[in-house]
Amino acid sequence: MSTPRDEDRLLDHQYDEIQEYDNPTPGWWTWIFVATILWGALYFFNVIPGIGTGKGRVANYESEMAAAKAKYGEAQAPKQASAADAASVLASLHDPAALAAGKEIFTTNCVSCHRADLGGQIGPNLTDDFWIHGNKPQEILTTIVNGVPDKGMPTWSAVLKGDQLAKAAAYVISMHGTHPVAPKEPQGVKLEWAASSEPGASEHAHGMENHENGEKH
Amino acid sequence: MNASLDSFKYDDAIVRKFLVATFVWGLVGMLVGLFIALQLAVPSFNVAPFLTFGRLRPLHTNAVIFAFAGNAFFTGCYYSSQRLLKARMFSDLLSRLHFWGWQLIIVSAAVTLPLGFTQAKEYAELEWPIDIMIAVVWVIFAVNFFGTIAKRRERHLYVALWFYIASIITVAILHIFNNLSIPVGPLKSYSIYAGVQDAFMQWWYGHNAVAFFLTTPFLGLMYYFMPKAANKPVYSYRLSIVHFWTLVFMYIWAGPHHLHYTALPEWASTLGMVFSVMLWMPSWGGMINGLLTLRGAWHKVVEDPVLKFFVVAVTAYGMATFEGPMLSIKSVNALAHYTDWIIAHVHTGALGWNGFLTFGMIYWLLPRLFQTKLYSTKLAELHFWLATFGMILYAVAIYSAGLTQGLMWRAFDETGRLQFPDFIETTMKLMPMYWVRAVGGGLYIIGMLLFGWNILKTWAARPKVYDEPVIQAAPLKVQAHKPEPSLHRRWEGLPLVFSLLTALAVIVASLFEIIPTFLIRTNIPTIASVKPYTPLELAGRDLYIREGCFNCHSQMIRPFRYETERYGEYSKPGESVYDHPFLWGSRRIGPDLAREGGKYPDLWHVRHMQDPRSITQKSIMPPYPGLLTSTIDFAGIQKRVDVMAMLGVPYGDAVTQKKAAEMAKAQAKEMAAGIAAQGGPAGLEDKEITALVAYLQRLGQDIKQATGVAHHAAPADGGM
Ligand code: HEC
Ligand code: HEC
Repeated sequence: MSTPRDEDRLLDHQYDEIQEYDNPTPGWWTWIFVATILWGALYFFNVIPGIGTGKGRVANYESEMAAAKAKYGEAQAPKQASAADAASVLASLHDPAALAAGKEIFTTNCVSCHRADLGGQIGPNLTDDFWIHGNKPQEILTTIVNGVPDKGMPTWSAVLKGDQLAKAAAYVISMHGTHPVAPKEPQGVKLEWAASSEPGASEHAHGMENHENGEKH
Repeated sequence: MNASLDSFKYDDAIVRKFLVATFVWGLVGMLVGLFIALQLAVPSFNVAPFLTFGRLRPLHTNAVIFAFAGNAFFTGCYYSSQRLLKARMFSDLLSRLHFWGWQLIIVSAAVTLPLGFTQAKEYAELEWPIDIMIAVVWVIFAVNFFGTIAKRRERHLYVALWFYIASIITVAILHIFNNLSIPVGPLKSYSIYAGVQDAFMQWWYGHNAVAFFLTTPFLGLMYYFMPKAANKPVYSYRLSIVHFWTLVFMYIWAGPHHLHYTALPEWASTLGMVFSVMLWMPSWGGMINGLLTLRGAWHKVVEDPVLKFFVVAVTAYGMATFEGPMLSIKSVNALAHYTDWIIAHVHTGALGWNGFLTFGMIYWLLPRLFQTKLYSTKLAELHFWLATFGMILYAVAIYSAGLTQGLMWRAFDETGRLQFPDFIETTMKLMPMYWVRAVGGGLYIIGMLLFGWNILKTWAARPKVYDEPVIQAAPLKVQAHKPEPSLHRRWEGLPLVFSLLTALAVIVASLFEIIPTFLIRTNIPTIASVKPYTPLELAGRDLYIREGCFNCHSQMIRPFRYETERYGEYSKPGESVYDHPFLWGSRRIGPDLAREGGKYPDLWHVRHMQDPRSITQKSIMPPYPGLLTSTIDFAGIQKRVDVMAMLGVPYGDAVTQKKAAEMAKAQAKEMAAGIAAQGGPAGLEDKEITALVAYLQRLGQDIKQATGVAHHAAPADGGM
């Protein structure tokens, strides 16, 4: 005998006047539940390709790394800046927009160690004639690109992109010979100013840069 | 009058107490939440050491979970249990001890957390004396509750009570086993577990605290208050049975989904994932039973704010329990873990499910408890809309923040390098969303204030003396025994059997994961170059814990190219074998620190800790200038090292010759000299900053010395 609302049969108990229907669990609920259990078992036992952990997270990571290496080459190896890179540093030296960008980059990334006036604090004074890693544009760029991780100079190639590195280097060079107040004591060896000896830069141009910056301070 | 009937009264005074506590702590917890949300947008709000983000975040989470939701559960539990069992609470004294004990715990938490006393385990931050208090008060509650069951006048237990039983038993087990630790001082202890095992225990606890403190108790409340408010029968008794048992049995396994791609063994993380996915339907069972109970009562929802709150609560529960299984799928988790997405997820649960259910329940209770009309239904209605709108703003903002963060962290440019290598760039993108979140949270809190006003005015209109109706019911022993239609129905009349079965489900499931995690050595291959922290570094680590740095910094690099490119080699299980407690963290408001050692010179750290914005202009990290002036507790170091040695950390001479303080002083002196030589402040040899920097400089160093071995650390001797 079926009543009009068969599914809503009240059970004959009540608790503090709360009653309960004897409805079955909804079909879709049951089936999704069963499906997740089946899927869970398959996934855990990892027997069907595509359902499961496959080769595992370490193997996946290693193939991800290998694929990236094949595509982009060895990224981590220290790089020697090339003569062409150095030329772009020198080109930036004559480009006010590039120098302004270099200053911006320096302000965000470098002042915490070299001070805003480049007078040095954690890192060395970058305006004097004393250099630890050489003062040729190529050398300065190389130092910035690779950093000196053991001495606390970060590897900037991981953070800055191609022309940003050159612009930062150009900005450093442009600040040579300025006289920050209370600079850090000299570090490294005294070197003749060599930036101008690179191809593309004339004595005159260098002198000008120096002069301009000297006036700013 | 029927002589065979007992006459008794319900204790509603205790319910009123819990109700008021729920509101007060809810407001406090949410205000702290709003404050720390603002600190992320305006770092200068980190005004004093005890008000920094790292110390206040645990205060917010603990207040909302244990004080707000906890008191809300007790309110509803004391009200409904007495009525469902047809008995006054077992002991009025125990009820009062429970109430005042719990409030004392909350006050102790509110004092100790800002002072920096913490175990560094999420939602289990409180130190050992408070943990003992929690255990005692919980036992008082349990005795009171089960005592009431023992003297009940209703043979069978209603589904709400099943959920209460499961919650009370499981929370006790979780709390005790996760908090096992050895005290070092009156408010300081070290977890007896280390590294991988500690992480496993913590998330076994952490996940199930969400399950058995925020989910099952509230499902119990829903099963009582929803049919009451709607005046409709519960949709399906059979669904109640199936979803109750599947929830109780399956929830416990899901904990490891908090540790995907970490150094936790992969089988455990996979197990956590598949059980989470299987939990989807058992969780939805509660939602279905709640929403379908409203069939034929939807017209009432339009008029009744109580039902409105319930509908949104159950819907939020449904969304959160769909999202949970989804987030536990490894590939989704890879994107969401460590980001604001997880914060959005918990707030769907906390604001939506726990908050709305509590509001609805209290609006329903107010006229009954204060025996007068609700002061204003209009205000309640307004509260509902403010809270709903606030919650939506919150969710939209923080889901976008989470996605943005996750996607920016993993973005590569066309040359195969990270597109956003500068971490702070990814943080700055979130600022607008942090503001919207604060506005959303603010609206929710304004709703809370209206709620408070409504409570106050209703209370003010209460009768001089509460009418306490005398209830009559037959004691169990004179009630006729009817044959039971099913086995389950029989269990419902046997609370002891029922409770034991529940406990068994929880314990068996736990042991399935715990035993292998602790006993199988290959799970944690040792790395020969990993050595204990020096005494000074250990002292620094304790400062890292005190300041709550782990609330913003993870120390667990996952095996993905975008992680290793940013932070360095991924973290290995063998690296944290001496970490009591583990400090892997669960959130990256700042960058991962697992490989921080040697990245910058000491002086950089000194300056950065003193004023992060002098180094990283846009940093949102709190400043810690006090560390440069406060002195290291050298005298206390020996005790700390001794306790570590007791836990199996090989400290050698430092312990046998009692040399710890001496070693710490020597190391601090050398470091301080170095910092001064770099041009930094002089005289740091006894300052806390030196210990902290020593610790930071140690992070990840051991494995660097073992490059080559690092990739496949052989499962050598000594699995622990
Ligand atoms: C965390 C601190 C830190 C930051 C940030 C930093 N440097 Fe350095 N830098 C140093 C240290 C320390 C040295 C010295 C390395 C040595 O002793 O070999 C150095 C050295 C240098 C040198 C070589 C100086 C010489 O005498 O040969 C250059 C050029 C330089 N940094 C440029 C930069 C630029 C450009 C930036 C920003 C893109 C930057 N640095 C950011 C710490 C830093
Ligand atoms: C409010 C969250 C927050 C808290 C709390 C916090 N930090 Fe930070 N931390 C940050 C952010 C954001 C950065 C990235 C910006 C910067 O360099 O300041 C950061 C950066 C750092 C860095 C530099 C990482 C790197 O490699 O560039 C260190 C080290 C650090 N924090 C240590 C700590 C310590 C130690 C504590 C506790 C005393 C702490 N932090 C507390 C948010 C936080």
